[in-house]
This record gives sequence, C-alpha cells and structure tokens, in this order.
Amino acid sequence: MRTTILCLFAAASLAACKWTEFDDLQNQTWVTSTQKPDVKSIDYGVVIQRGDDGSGSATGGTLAVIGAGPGTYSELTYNQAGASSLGTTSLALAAQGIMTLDPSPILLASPKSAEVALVTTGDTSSIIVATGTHTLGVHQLSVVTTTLGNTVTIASTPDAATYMQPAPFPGGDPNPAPGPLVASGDVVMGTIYAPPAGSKQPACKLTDGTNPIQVRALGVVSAGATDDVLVWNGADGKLLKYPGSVFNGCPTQTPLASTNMASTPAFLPGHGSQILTIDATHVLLQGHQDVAKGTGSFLQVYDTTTLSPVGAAITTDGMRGAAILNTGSAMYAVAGYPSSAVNGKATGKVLLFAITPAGFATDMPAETLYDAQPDSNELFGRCVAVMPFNGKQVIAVAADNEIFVYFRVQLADGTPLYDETRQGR
Amino acid sequence: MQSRVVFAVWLAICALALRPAYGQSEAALKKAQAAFDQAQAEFLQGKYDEAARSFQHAYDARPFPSFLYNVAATFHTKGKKASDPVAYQKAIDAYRKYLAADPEAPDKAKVEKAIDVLEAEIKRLKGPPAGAGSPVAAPNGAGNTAPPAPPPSEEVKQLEVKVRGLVVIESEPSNATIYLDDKRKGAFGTTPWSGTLEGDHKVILEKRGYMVLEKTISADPTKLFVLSGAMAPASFLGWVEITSNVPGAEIFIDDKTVGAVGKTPLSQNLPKGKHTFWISAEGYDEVKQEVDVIPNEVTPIRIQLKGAPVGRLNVTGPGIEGAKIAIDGKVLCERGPCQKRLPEGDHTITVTRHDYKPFSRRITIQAKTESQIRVTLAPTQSRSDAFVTFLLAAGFGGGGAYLGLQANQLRDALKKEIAAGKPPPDSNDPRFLRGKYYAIGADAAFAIAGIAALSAVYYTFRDKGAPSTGVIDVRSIALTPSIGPGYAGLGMGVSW
Repeated sequence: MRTTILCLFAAASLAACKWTEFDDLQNQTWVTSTQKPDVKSIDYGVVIQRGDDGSGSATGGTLAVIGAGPGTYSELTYNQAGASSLGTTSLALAAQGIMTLDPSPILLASPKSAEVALVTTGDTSSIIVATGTHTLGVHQLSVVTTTLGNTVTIASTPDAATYMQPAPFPGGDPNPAPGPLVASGDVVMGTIYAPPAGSKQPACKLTDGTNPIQVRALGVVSAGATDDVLVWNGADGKLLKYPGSVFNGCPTQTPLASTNMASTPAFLPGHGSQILTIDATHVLLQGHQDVAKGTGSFLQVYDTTTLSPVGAAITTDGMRGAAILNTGSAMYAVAGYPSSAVNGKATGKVLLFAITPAGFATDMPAETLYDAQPDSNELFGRCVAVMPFNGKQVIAVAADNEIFVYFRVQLADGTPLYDETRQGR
Repeated sequence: MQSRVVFAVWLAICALALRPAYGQSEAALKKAQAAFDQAQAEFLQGKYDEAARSFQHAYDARPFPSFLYNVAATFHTKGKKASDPVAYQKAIDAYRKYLAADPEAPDKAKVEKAIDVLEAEIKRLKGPPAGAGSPVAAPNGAGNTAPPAPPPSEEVKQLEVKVRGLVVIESEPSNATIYLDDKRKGAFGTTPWSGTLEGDHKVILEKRGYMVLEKTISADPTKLFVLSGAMAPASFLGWVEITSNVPGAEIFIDDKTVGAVGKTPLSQNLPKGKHTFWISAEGYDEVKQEVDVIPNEVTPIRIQLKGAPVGRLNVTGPGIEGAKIAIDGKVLCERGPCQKRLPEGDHTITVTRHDYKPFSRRITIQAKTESQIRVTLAPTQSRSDAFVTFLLAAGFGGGGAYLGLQANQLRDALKKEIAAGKPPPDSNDPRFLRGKYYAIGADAAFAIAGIAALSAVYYTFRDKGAPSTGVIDVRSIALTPSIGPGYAGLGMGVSW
C-alpha cells in the first residue's frame, strides 16, 4: 500500500507540468502584444504614432493610439521592461468635438517635440487639427474664411498633412514651433488657429502650370531655418517642391521644383500616401492607391535636391503605411501590408526593406514580421510606427484591436536588426 | 510347554464329555419347539386350555420363562373372552410363576400390574350380581337359560395381552458373550439367552479360546426362534480383556483408520502375536500400548487414561458446510461443522468460504471445555466501485498525460520559436494561455487521477459491508464418576 502511494506520487511528480514555465516563456518573447485596453472604441488601433519623442531622459516609451467607433485617443505606456499599460490621458474624441473620424485619420508626430497631431474632417466649414503632448487639444481650420477669399472652394476633408517648421506668421509668434500643414485638394493650410486680429485662416492654392494638383502626400525638406514643402501630386504623380511660405497663406504658389517626366514616380498616390524624411536630402515616398481603386503600392527613395529617385522602387501590392526605422547604424523602411497572406492566411504582414545611400538595394525584404498565431483578417500592419524606447527605436505595428511592439528583431539572415531593447528583465 | 500340553488334553476331554449333554439339550429344545408350535396353533384356534397345556409342555422341555408367560397370556385371553374368573385365576398363577422363574424380567412391572388388575376383575365377577334373587342357571343347562357373561372391566380392556414369540440364543459351549449388530455397542448378554427380539439382527458370539461366531437372524414375534451355535475351539487365539478407568473409551486395534472396534470394557479373541492398542476418550490423552497376545491365555490390558490439557472446538453456523476452518494457519476441517480437540492455549481460528468474508478470531482453548463458535459469514461485497474508480483514475491519468504532452509540445515549440524569432511569438500568443491551461489541466488531471487511484486502492482493500462475525460460547466438559457391571471410571458430559 505504501509502495503504491509512493509510486503514484513519483509518477505524478514526473508527469506534473509546471505551468509557470509559460509565464517565464511569455516574458522571454521579443514582442509585446497589447489587446484593446479599456477604451470605448470597438476598432482600436486604426492609426498609431509615437508618443514621447525620446528626447527626454525618461526610459520606456509611449505610443499614441487612435481608436474608432467611437473615436478615442489613448496612449500605451511601455515601461523599461516592455510591459504596457494604458495611459491616464485617454480621450473620447466626440467629447472633444470630433464627431466624425476619417476612416484613415492622419496622425502626425512633431519632429522636434513629443507633440502629436490628429488631422481629420470637422464640420462642413472646418478641418479639425487636434494637437498636444499626451493629450489632444482640438483646433479648427476654417475652410471658408481663408486668405483665398471666396474664389476657391476648399473641402473640409483633409487629404494630407505634415509637420513643418514655418516662418513666423505676421503679427504672430516670432519663433513658431513646428506645426501641421494640412492639404485639401490643391490647397494647403498652415495651422494658425487664432490668427491675429484682421487676419484670416492662412491658405495657399498650389499650382503646377496647367497641371491639376491633388495633394495626396506632404513632406518637408529643410531650407535653413524653415522647411520647404514637398507635395506628391495624386493627379499626375509628380513630386513638387514648394516654398515653406505656403504655411502662412498666399493666393497661389507655383512649385520651386518638380520631377520631370523621367523622374516622376510611375504611380498615382491615393489618400494616406506619405513622404517620410530619411535625412536632410532624402525622403521616402510611400504611395498606395485608394482602397476603391486597387492595391497598388509604391515605395521609393527620392533625392530632395534633385527630386530624382534613388535606387529602384518597391511595388509590392497591398501596402497601406510605412515608417522609417533608424537603428543608428542602418535605416529601414517598415511597410505594413495588412491584407497580405501569410502561410495561406490573409492576416497581414510587415516588411522591412533596408535603405542604403543607393536607395533600396533589393526589393527582397530584410525581414518579414507577422503574427506567429494570427487570426483571419487580423489586419496586421494596418498602421506601423517607430517608437523611441529606452533611447532606441523599436517597431510598433497596429492590427485589429491589437498593438505589437517589437523590442528585438532579427533579420532574415539571422543577424539582429536590433537586439534586446528592454531593460531590467 | 508341558503345562500347555496338559491343558490342551484337558480341554479335549472336557469337550468330549460335553458332547452328549449338548445332544440331550438339543432334543429337549426340539421337543419344546414342537410344543410351542402346537400351542401357537391351538391358541389361534381358540383352544385356550390346550394351548396353555402345550406352552406348559414346552416349558417342561426347556424351562424358558417366556413359555410360562405365554401360559399366563393364554388363560388371560380366555378369561377376557368370557369374563371367566377361573381362567383369570389360572392366568394370575402363571404370571406369578413367570416372575418367579425370571425375577429380573424386563416386563416385571407390567406383569405385576396385570396380576393386580386380574385379581380385581375376579373380585368384581364373583361379587353379587345386579339381579340378586333371580333363578340360577342349572349346571347342565336344563331349565332356565344362563345369563350372558358381563363384559370385562375397562382396566382389563386396557391391558395388552398376547402370546410372545421367543428368541433363544445358545452356544456350545455356553457362556459365550453375545454382541448384537455391532461390538462397539458393547456386550448384549451371554449364552444361553432367551427373550424377545424383532427384526433382523447380526448376532456375534465370542468366547475365550473359540472362534468368533457370527449369524444373522430374522426374529418372528409369534414363533420360537432358536439360534444354536457350536463354537469351534481356536488354539491360535488369545483372549484380551481391555478395561480402562474411563468407561466407554474407544478401542482401536492395529489400524486406527478402520475405526474403533469397541469400547471399554471389551473382551475378545485376538490372533496370537503382537498387537497395538490405542485407547482414547474425550478429554484424555490417548494411550498406545503394544501387547503380545499369547494363544489360549488371557491377556488383561488395564489402561489408565489421564486427562490432557485439551479442549474441544466446535465451529458451527449458517453456511458452515461450505466453509474451511483453519487453526493457526493449518486446515482443521475442510468443511464445517467442525468439532475437534485442541491443545489448551491461544489459537487463531480462521473460517473461509468463497465469496464470503473470512472470519478470524483469537481464541483461548481451555482444558476440559468446549468452545463453540457460531460463525456468521458475511458475503463479500462487489468491488465495482473500485473498478469504476480505477477506470476514472486511468481516464484522468490518460487525460493528464495527453494534456501534459500537449503542454510540453507547446512549450517546446514556443521555446524554439522564441529562440529563432521567425517569427517571434508575441506576449499574447494564444499558445501561452493554451499551454498554461494544458499544464494546469494536466496537473489537475494527475491530481484527480492520483486521488482516484488512491481511492480505488482503498476501495479495493477496504472491508466493505458488515464483517463476518462469530459468537463464542464456552462450555465445560464435566467428568462424572461412573460405575457399571465389571468396571468403574469417569463419564464425561457437556454442560453449560
């Protein structure tokens, strides 16, 4: 009897499973996945952007997240060990007066501060620009009382936006901080929310000779103390450079330069296309068609001095957004393909392409990120961002109601893209 | 040697001298038998006076008292038929002669009662008649007719009367010991013997120096049956007389397996040579003795049995006939009821029966006592609960093993994928939770399986249901002094 009991205990001990092993393994993962926290949106993570810019001494990182249905702004705060938590400054956008959130709202990050800006449709007479650091303050850009008078009609739906360093507005702040430049149709508007008395909302109609202008992406290129503006024309695909003075308003503005026929991207960008700054002389054009028109995508490095392409374009279908990762030693284009199939399952993926001085050396991705255990239609990569974290940059990927942050990435060839960025583990 | 020769010659002379006497006796016996048969015939014909006379002739030929009884019974019957006081008086006289001839008659009391009843009946019949003064019938029957005889009294009616058959057992030589049916019953009598017997019997005649004579008789209660045995001398036999201080002790000779040949006291012939005797009695040590039997000599065997510290164990109870009884691990009885002697002291009794719970008890056997154990065996209960629990344990064990394997597979796969990073599992990978659930489920299943297995082991070995029981009753075996013809000793009985 005693022997039987001992044998049973021995067998049970040998066969017993330590479930805490899974907790340990969970802590060893490279990727922190955060399910939709306690926010009211049912579509969490339609767009993400870095929160903190990493300029401070604080460790960890912050990710600004926009949810839809109803619209919310919230922040995911990552401690230095990579554990996420919901920030305390979650906002219901409706309470801020943002009643209609665009399907793909524009969420920008200031290049010089922790400020972020949400650009979306306002009412019939304004575009809403909500800005703030760890919160949002709503501003309205009037589309009817602009410096353009009544000679043009400006839609209240934004087509593109970018942070830029403007020149001082007459009668305004002599040292203005970078602010969002918002485009609607062929008009761009600087975010002067409270123009000095007698001034109207600055706006500037962009022209390209007889060619129609449909701004689909805005970018900036440094022009000394201020920035000039890069415009990717959705009407003909041209990349145009305009002076930064358009921020403060003008009746019309012709481009300083534009791509010629040979250098014009062979792609007509749709809404949500981007011009991402690589360095002082290079930008990355991320273009994709509007959903209703197709899945065509375009990714190419351009020289902002000559407005000519650098290297070959990557035209893998299905891209919806991109970000640039600077590891300190290398740069990568992080491109999200939320509808692409992985292992026969349309779950989405994120491709990393190495950016060299010669542009993309190859159209083969340096690494493919995807959910190891994906759900169907997970929309993995519907938005990507690069988040400063513990003094480094890490990749953040939005999926359907789930945010992935990669604290460690290994390239396809086995070399680390960046090694463990978490601390205190 | 010379003395033995002289003794043999003397025996031969005696035998020759006795032969004529035995021949005369045989003639008288035939005469008596003829008279007895005639008397029986006359009795059946209602010729009572003649029958009584013939029975008297039979007695005259061979004075067997039963003949006198039959004389009396004949007159008794005649008197009863006609309420004849004269016949009654003759019957009384014959009864008295019978009792005088056989003072130890087994029916002495009945006969004396019959005498009393008949004497009263005579007085009743000779008393004044109910119609005194009426004319008396002439002796020759002329004139008035004789009044009818009064019926016998109720007492007379109740008396049973009939003539008896007679069994006569004789031997040549006489004084042989008679055993009836089985020597173990003890001696029945000695020859010559007469009396009443009914049914078939085996008669064994044994006499020192003579061969044993065995005959089977069928006694007719209405006839005179005479068994005459001429016993042949046997010079090679010796005569043993076995007695013990405990009367009724069983005697085994030479081979115990054939059973006891008789009980003490016992005298019988045995072939010459060495013989082994075992004498045993309940509550006494068995005595074994080797005896050299010498032909034509009496060999007395006096056995002194000594009480042994033994008691008797008596195991009874319902269904005991199918149970095996063991004492101290050794089978005492293959099946019950079991009654055996056991040495004094502590013993462990175990009663087992298929499909029943065993009964085991420590008992103390005391000398000269009977420990009766009435055992009630309880049927063993079904072990289906243990079987089901074992199945449950196996099921949970198997389920636990399956879940454990699944958990281990997930753990290994996750480890491998985390190390490889292609792609790296995220912190919310469902496999972590699933694996944890599997592991917890496996541990829970193992725990349940363990508990179930322990329960099953318990269920297997637990004593389910009521146990087998036994009630012990200790009774003393009393030894009482006993004195009989030719012996004295101690008798044994059980009392409580």
